[in-house]
Amino acid sequence: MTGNERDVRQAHGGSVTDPAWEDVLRAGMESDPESGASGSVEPELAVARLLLHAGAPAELGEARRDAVWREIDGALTPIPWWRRRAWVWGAPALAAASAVVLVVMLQPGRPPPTSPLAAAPGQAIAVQLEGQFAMLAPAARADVARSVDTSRGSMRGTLLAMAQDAETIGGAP
Amino acid sequence: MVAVGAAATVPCAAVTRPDALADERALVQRAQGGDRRAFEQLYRAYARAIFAYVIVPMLGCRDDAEDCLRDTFLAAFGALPSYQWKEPGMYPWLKVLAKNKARDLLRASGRRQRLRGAFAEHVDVLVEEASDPTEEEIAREQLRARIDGVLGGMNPRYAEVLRLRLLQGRSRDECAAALEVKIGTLDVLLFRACRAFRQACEKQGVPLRGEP
Repeated sequence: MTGNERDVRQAHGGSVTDPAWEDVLRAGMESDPESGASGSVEPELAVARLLLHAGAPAELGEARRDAVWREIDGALTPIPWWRRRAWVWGAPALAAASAVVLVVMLQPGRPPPTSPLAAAPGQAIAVQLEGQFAMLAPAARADVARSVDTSRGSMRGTLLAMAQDAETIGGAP
Repeated sequence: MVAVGAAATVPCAAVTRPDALADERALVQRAQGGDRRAFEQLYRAYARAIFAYVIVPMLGCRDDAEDCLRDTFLAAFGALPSYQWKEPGMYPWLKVLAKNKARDLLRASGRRQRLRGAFAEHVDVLVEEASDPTEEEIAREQLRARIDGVLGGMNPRYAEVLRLRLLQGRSRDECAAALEVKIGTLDVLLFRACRAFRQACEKQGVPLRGEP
């Protein structure tokens, strides 16, 4: 292709992949009294694209080449564990399960056991541990409750966003 | 009336010459070791040629071709550890991957994709397969020469509209003025010329298949 031809093509567009060629050929077929004005223009379109390709092959511009590379690079970059989908969905469930286990283990409101073991010589240590536990437990419970609330809020936000997306895509115009 | 190329796509004027690779084999080895920068250099060297000479002729659609290009290089990165180096380089291997990906895309989306004017089989009929981007460019020059030969045996008016409109990329107005016809008549002329081109190929012993 000469420089002049290149300039002309740049000025007028009409590249190999331009979808408007199909319309041009269809318009030609429909206006052609000999063609019957119906049917596929696929064979003619393939010929047109062949000649366009021979004139100047489809160009992947710098910007598009970079854009495709960004997609490739993104797909090749491993996702950190905290951003994985499984974690987003699993974290609230895990937090809730932990809370249940804690409640079952602690059994708040139940009187302290009065087993023979409790009255054993190690009772003083047990009482001390229990006292420490009683001090730490409220804060731990509050943390768990906060975590559950945060996860629930995050999940609600995600679901709302998904619902809005779905509405945007498939909703009424 | 329809105006081709008015705003649809980037004009495809520049010939897609490859970016030179200093030491491709070393780059491939680095990429096989997981070096993303090396792989990016390979991508930048071959993306244009794979896109223009392999994928677009098979798919005919720019968006699909870009998706296919991305999938090709993703597959290439995954398959690199098992790639065995062969001279002249990895371009033929990439071509095979690209063709497979394009076929996958056609299969996945059904026959409608094929209605978009894929012409890879026409190219295969007219010129031999190239094994690197430079050869692709030479093959395209040969393709153009063969097309000129076919045009030489056609009705001069049909040949002229194909030359002006498709090979040279002249606007409809320019072509209509050059051929002294109205725009509507030009469309008819172009349609008939494309049909006549197929018949002329058959006469010259290189029949283009009915379905690309």
